[in-house]
Amino acid sequence: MGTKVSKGLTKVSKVSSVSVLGMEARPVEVEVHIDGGLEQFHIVGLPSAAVRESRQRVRSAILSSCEDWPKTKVTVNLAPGDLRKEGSLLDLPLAVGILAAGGILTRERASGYLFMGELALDGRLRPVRGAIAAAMTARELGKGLVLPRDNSPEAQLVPGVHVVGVETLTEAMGFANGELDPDVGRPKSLPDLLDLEKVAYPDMSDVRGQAMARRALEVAAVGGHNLLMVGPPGSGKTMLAQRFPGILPPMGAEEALEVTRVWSVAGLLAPGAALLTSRPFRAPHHHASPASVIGGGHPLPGPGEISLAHRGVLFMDELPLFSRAVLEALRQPLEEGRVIIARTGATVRFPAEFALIAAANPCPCGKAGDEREVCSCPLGRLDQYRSRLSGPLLDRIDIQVEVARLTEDELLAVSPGESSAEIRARVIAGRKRIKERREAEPEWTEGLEALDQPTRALLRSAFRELPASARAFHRTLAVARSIADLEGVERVEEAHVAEALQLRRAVWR
Amino acid sequence: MTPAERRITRIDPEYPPLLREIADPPVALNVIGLPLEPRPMLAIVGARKPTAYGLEVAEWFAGELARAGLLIVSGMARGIDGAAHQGALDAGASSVAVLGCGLDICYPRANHHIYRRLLESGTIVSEYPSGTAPLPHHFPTRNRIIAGMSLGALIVEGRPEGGAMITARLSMEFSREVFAVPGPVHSPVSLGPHLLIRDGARIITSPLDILEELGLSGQLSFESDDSPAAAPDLSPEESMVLAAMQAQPVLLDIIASAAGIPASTASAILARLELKDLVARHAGSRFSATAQATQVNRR
Repeated sequence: MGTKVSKGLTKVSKVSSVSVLGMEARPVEVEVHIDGGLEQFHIVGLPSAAVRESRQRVRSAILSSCEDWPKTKVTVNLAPGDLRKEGSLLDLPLAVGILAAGGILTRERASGYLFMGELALDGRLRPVRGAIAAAMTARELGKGLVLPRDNSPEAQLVPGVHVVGVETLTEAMGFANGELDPDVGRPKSLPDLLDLEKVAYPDMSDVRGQAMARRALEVAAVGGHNLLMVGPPGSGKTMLAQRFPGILPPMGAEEALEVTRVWSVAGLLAPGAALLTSRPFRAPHHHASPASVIGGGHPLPGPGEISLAHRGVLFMDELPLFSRAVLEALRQPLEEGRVIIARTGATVRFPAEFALIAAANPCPCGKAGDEREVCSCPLGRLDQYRSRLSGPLLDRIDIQVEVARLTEDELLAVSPGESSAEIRARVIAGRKRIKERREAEPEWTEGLEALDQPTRALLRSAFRELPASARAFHRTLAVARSIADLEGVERVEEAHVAEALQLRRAVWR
Repeated sequence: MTPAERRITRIDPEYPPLLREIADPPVALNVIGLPLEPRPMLAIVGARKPTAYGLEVAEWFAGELARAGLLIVSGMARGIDGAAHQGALDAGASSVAVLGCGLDICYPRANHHIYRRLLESGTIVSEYPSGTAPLPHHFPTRNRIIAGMSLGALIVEGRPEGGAMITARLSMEFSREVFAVPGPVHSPVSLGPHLLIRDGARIITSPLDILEELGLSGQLSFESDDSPAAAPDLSPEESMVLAAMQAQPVLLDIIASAAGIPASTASAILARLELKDLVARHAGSRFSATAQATQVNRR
């Protein structure tokens, strides 16, 4: 980032930064040219609206930091010229570049660092999105990273990068000039962070009764199955769903970093937050747009709810009321664990390995199936409501159970349920068995031929009358396999298939 | 796909004899499927939004009575009507559906599978020509045909203002028998049959009751019924769970603790019992023992 003086007044400087695109931070060079002539300030190189607005912030911040604003022509070029630059994180590199071109920065130290950060008018720095992605890019380029102090804990999660958190433009300048060395602290290792933070979820012991739904959650947790709960309003579907993350195994360091990276890109990390250690639980409202659920936005797509739920739970209450566009678009991520979003600006990819927990009322009025009440829905509307879920999407939801609204008598008769910790212990053991089997036999699939005669007979009789798809048949077997793993049994037996049949029912009747 | 429609008039021998006797019999009936058999007919009708109990009862009665030799007539509506047709067809017997629209229209479409089965092994009847839409005012007139063809009408669940009550009232007007199956008193769809019982309809608790009331118990019987179907093989644990069950729907949690086994095991056993038709599933993971199961338990 040297300052070069030629032809008297002309000065040029270069500062490295990034632009966040999807999950990646692409390197961007900020070139500043100070020329003679009337006072002007131009930015070229595909800046978005937020970048163009930088001009006002940068000017005020520099003036507030008691530096002179060059009263001549300032031209900024953002390279590469064909990459669209998004966001306000270019404020800091812009300001640093202008000061360098103006001769205020004299040392070469800054050339070993990437700069990112949004400036306030008084020269303080505000946190930005995508710090983890930027740190990863810095590591690849063999550089350090100067960024707002609020972002430094997350950036420090990436090992091998010298991360400098600064609070003001003045501090950033001091660092670049070698006059100041902010105490960066020793970055903590990922496992330390995981241990440090206590993770608390609501506990399953709060739920009375609901044996079927509890079991369904447990099997879903072991086998990574998606789950649909159907029950009247107030039967506890939301309560059960909220307790699902608590019966999943705790996140490992790598998983936690993946989740934190998505949240960092979305700009949803709290200022100063480092690693997200609890599994995300996202519950978009059924009026949510496809772009907000799946991901999208203009001109550069950002992650949607399904990506924010990566490694966690996506709870879709009132599943039939989501727009058809949303329901259809869920199919690809459910299958592939990621989503690809194409926009004119760019095509990006976000991770989306989430557990889908869906809930639905039995009918629009919520009273169908309750023996003491009368459903007031016209039959046509009932069909319409239920048909929204038919076919391919429902096929991908392996476990479908009914959740009862307990009567007073039933509430008194049922015993309080197990705690999340007890269930989680079984889930962890079950997942361990699955992992061992996969390692021993990577190509393993549950075949019909491995079943004994009574088990095959049971499957045959269950599927004889139903117009079931081949997928439904195999998914039933997959659920039975998960149950066997949960029980610690090598081979799928009749009881496992029988229970799988119970957990995978046509819930609409 | 639809086989040719036939038209039978009042003077045709195929025209149901009892239907000739009502005040305003249809001049002609359009028919597809098998010819109308000259057998005693019984209407089974009821709620369009029944409970699992009602569906089970309708299917059971239709099956038993069809096997005994009655021809089951209904309206192919959702709920009880559809269950009655299915019960009869599953028993290997024929069944008659009377529609409130043209024969080329399957209404409701949700019952398409029943419509197709009836085309093959049952009879579908309507007084409306092909292409007639299922308009609301067609259904009460259709009900008069259902009631008119039959020796009597069995009402399984229904609300006091429902279509099944119209059929019951018409049966009464035509001086045919009206039978009603009682249900749980707190269920809103039990109200219709209970009102009928209060007003003098026969209370029916088993298929045999109907044969006796119709005076057919001498000619028709459940000869094939008792031995083969009634002794299913039950494992000790299946018998244990079955013994812990009641005719009313009970929550899985409670069945499991009554049988002293984990809910997951109980759930697996219930799935097997359900495939053996000994257990019915109700809303909200509740289960009840079917009529067949009570016979097993008694034994």
